Amino acid sequence: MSAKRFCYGQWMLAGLLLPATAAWAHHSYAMFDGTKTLTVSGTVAKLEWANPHVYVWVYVPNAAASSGYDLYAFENGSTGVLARLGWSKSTFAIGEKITVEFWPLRDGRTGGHFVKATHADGRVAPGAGGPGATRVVPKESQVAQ
Amino acid sequence: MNARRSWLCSGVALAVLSANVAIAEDKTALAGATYDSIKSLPNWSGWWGLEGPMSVEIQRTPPPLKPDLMNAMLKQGTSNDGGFRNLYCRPSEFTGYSGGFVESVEFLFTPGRVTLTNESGLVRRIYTDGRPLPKDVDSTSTGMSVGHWEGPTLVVETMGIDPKAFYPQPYVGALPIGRNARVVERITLRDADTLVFDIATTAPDIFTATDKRTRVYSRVPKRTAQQISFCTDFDRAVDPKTGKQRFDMTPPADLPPPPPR
Repeated sequence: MSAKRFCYGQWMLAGLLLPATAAWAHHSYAMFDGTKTLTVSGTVAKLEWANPHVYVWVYVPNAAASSGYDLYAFENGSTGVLARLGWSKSTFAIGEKITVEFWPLRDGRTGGHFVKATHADGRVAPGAGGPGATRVVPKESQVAQ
Repeated sequence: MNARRSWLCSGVALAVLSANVAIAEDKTALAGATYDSIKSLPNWSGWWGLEGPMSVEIQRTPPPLKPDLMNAMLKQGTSNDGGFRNLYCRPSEFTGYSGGFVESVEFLFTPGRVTLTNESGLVRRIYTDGRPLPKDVDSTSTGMSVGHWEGPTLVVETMGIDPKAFYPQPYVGALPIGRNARVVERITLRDADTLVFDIATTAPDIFTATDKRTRVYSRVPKRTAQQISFCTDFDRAVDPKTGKQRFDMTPPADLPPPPPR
């Protein structure tokens, strides 16, 4: 086997072995399970518009909880990337009902990485980044304002 | 004899003077050397956004890292331990990648210079005034860049990059680029709204061969720059005391109460 072919094979192997959570990012996505997407519905508690990550906080009904709700936190991309997607600090209003798809935390807490959210009227707000993301800006990226 | 020598000296002096004038004229004739000639350069105005995240690109097309370094990068990149806090508070660096992790880039054309910036504070001064790359230069975080236009393509050569600057960027999983790194970029429009960077990076301390890759940026219409900083006082993803990664679920202080049942 020539050295060149060995080297090529080695890099092919490295490419195959690179897990989805390998970073080259602000932080590792090892805390999220990118192999499963969960969905919850609730009311928006806050859109935390900040860098390096925007967070969406949502109250999700849970009859077993003392308050009747669980508080969910969803990490999202930076303000710059989300602005390219059409987001702003007023994309979600406090108290509005939304349905959120997310990659869950591996430790079981109520949160994860934002995939997308759907407003009550059907408009979709796509997220950015996360363990399963393949593009900075998803092709279907349109936030209906 | 003295008269002949005097004439000879005058001739040499005139020749040197003429050559200098010719060089000066050549430099003003360079593309982008004057405000008038900038008008004939391709339209790169506005902001340009990367189509795919660097993390995906690097996974699909791994750089030719030395095998032991590849293992180290993988180990660090998949770790949840963190310890990377200070990575985000370094001066902006250039080791072949102008876009940061996800930031948009812009170009400013002034006579004899192209300046490339991105949303997280990177400033690359690319001299297009005909000067050569120096043989020796003090290293800096963004290196020393000279460029020239080959028709619609800007060709940029960069050297003098700080050996401690991180490849591909100062993020989780990155490595110091090492000594004598050089980057050659060919930047050109594929169409009116698509800008292509062909990049060749030589880094003998970490690569086994020249790393060649293409990055595609799309024009972002009506873009207003967003200042992006990963070096913030409050980062839910990184513990400021330990630098370890986390998912901080401390509710915001102004969180409203849950809706009535």
